[in-house]
Amino acid sequence: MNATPSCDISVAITGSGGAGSITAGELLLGMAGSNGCFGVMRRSFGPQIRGGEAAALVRVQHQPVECMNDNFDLLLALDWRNAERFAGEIALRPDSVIIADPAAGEIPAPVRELGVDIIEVPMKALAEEVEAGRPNMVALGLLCQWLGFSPDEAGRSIDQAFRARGEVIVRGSQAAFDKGFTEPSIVAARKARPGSERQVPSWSETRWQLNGNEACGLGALRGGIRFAAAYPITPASDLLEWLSPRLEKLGGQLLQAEDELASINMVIGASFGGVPAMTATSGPGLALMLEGIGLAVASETPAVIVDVMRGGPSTGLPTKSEQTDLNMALYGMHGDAPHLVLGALDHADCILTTEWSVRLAEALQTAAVVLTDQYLAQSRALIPEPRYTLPEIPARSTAESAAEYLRYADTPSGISPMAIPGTAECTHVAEGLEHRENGRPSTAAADHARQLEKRARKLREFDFGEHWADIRGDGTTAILTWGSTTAAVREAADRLQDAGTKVKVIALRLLLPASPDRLAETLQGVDRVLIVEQSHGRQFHHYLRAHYDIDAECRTHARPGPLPITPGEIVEQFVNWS
Amino acid sequence: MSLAEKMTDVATFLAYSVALEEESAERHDELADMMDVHHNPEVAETFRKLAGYSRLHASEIREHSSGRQLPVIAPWDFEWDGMEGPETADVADVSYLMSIAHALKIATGNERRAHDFYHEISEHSPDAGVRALAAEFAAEELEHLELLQEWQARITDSDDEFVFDPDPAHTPE
Amino acid sequence: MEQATTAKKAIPKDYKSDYKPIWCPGCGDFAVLNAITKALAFLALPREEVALITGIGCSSRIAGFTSLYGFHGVHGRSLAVAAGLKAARPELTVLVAGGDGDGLSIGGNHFIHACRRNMNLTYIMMDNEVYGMTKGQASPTTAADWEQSKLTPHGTGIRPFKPAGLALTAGASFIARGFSGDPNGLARMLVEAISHPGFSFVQVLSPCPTFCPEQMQWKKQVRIFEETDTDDPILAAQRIQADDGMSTGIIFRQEYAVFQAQSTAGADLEPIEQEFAI
Repeated sequence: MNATPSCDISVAITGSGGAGSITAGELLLGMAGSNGCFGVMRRSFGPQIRGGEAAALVRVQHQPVECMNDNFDLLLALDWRNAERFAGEIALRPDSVIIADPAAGEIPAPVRELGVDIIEVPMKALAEEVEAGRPNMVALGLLCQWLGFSPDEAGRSIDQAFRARGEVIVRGSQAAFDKGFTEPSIVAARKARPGSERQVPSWSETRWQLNGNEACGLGALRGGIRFAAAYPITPASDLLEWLSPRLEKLGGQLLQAEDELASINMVIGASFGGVPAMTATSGPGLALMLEGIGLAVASETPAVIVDVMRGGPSTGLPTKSEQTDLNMALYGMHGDAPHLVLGALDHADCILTTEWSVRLAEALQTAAVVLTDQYLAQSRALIPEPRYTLPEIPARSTAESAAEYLRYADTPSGISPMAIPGTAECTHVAEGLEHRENGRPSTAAADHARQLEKRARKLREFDFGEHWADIRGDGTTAILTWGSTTAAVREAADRLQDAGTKVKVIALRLLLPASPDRLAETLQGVDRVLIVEQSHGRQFHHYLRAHYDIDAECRTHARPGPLPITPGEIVEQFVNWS
Repeated sequence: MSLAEKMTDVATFLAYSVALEEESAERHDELADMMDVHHNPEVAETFRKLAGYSRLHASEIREHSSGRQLPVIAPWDFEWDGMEGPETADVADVSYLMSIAHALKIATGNERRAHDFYHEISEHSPDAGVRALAAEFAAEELEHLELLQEWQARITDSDDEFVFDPDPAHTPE
Repeated sequence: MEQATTAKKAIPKDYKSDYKPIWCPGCGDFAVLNAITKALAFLALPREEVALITGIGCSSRIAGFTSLYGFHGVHGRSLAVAAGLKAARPELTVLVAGGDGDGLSIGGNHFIHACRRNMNLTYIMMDNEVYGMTKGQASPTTAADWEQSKLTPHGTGIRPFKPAGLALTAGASFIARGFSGDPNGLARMLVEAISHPGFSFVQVLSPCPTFCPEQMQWKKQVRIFEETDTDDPILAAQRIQADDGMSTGIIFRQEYAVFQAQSTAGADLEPIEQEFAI
């Protein structure tokens, strides 16, 4: 597998007013896929629904990669309108390059003052040379040339993308692409750069393209979900939209709810009926669902809630990523309500974590909150075909007809056989009120103590196995993180390792129940720990302090959204830390 | 045409009579349960006794009908005068603070109405067999009424306004 | 409507649990329990195939007094739980019950959407025009000048909902009003409601002797609608608006498309997995 640095390229494409920068970015990622590469693409937008300023941010490598780099090698600007919106997100280096269209107006002063090379290409004019040619397709051609891609697959990708719009558009787009691909100034500029020979990656196994929302959906289906309740919210709506037709094909259903309060209760209803059920939402929706999640815990009804975190608080930054629903997921329920909280670590891990969460929720008859974030959910990644094995987890414990059936029987494991409607002789009332073993409401101290202990015990005594965390590397230095910052942490660790510091990366996947003994064991021999999280209020840091004893010297790098945490800023944390 | 005038066969009459007593019994049991839950054991016991009597009457009537196939009538198809059978106590008339006197007052009202029901039929049914049976049942209701009145005479608590409960209402949930 | 014939005749008691109701003596909800069990006995439904979903309030305790599959959830959300259950298990008979506060205040949004969605559910609203469980606050059906609540000592000053009117506008396909003083009539209404394909709404005037003793006079004020039910929503609207809310009977009945969550026979996961491969 070739892994030369010049094979790691980050490209930003910006444009506005329907310029199609996002389409170009998506096609570019697809081209990277058909050229044997790995990569990740995220998007950034202005507030308009259409016609606003938009940026496609793509990173391509010959080996698996899942996080954005610290900065961009190339910025292709289809125009400069409102481009300053992206200034914070598109950091350029002195040796970066900008490709701009002179017809698109004057380059803004801040950009010019960066002093980077600017290659002017008349993309609009080139596009107008062909019928139905558009500048963004010229740009795509330029970029494929720049990245050393073979143009062979381009024709097919473009055909697929625009088929619905008719032959004229397809042919025009292909012709515009060719104009860009063969543009002399770019061909020359590429030849002049080091390592410009086209590298042929040698990864021979299957690769997948997906985004985190789709991955969570797949994990849910693998876990057995056959009912979903749906209320739209950015950035979780596409997870539900992905599920809808596929659930139907598998004999399941998706029910659109009137609000999140209905969603979580519909999930409970379906699950009470014996069908594994889930919903997906974001922070504001999860807040509404908290009472319902508590009902799932108290009534011991399995329920899975995927929370695709976005910038908070309140309406916050709906299209940006952050890791600040942790507090709510952990502590949001009133009463003592032990439940499951898990966080997916990367795109492939969205599948594993969601499947695992479903199986756990079913086995333990409780609620599982699965945390992902906007970055994972909506960025598309080219990844190796995900492979994993989960431990054997029993399916939901069911009850056969029996006289004297006790729905909330206090068993040694804490898990009571759950009779579903239709099972003769086992009629009972599932209760949100505290109850006796037979489900009858009770305020007696002994009953409350028994049921509290039972609901706590079933989680406490369960052996979650090795998947509580993902641990890589070794050393006296450790970086402790969770969620989507994991990819940046892993890359930072690689850089530190290359520079001579061995680093152990510990990414927690199972957040609740906490695993203090396992973390203590993992931290043996570690004398300094960097905690990394995307939160202003240091929610993860507080969680660690509350549930774990960490003897090593700790520092925390906590930064809120909207900008992704980069490997470079993590490496920075070690500069003045001996 | 009144119900009595429409009561043309014994089987239907017996079906009505059984339903009358069973509904009465069930209601009395329900009231007894209410009194149990609300810690008024004397009145609970009173209603249980009354339920027992109604049940006894029902089984006696069933014996009258041995050999006959009684028509199955849906609960809402009975053409009672009021919304429920004449011997069925009205839930709206009870209170957890009620006394035995109250309960017996309700019971005697029921018996009177039951008597009147049978009496009407004994006078106006076009069928001789029905009239005879109805007269018999009416007479029995009078006997029951007398028994209840004797019972009333024996008790000393009053059927005036319900005694008041000094504790305010409480919120269980 | 047919009475089902089974080998062993179902009786109402089969559908009751041994848990004695905790409702105040005089409460109208006893009659609703009776009526539900009479209706189920008439229809001879196996009790394990009937679910009763309730919310929070005195009337929502009803699930515990039956021997059906019950779900005693949180305040106002019973219709959502029922929708999820019915979507996942369409073969079950799903009943929903609760009070006027549970259904029209906190549950109001779920109520109007349930009416519109028209899943095959039966919703029984025990209306006593008060929040009984929490000791006597005004509810959305309380008269504007009712001054017995400490929260609104001058009365709410707000005109109450007409639940039947709300249901009609929201698109319910079966609307009826019953009275706890007529449990047999209510039982018949419930048989019709349960048999009706679609969302059936049955409002039951059910007095609260503890917080609204004046409601014990309802039996003198309630009457039966002169007209039989109509399938014309305009006519139904007129009847509802012209009525003082004390007339009982089936008001409106129409057959709209019954919502059923889309589902096809189970394919397997393999083709879905394949979608991701490059």
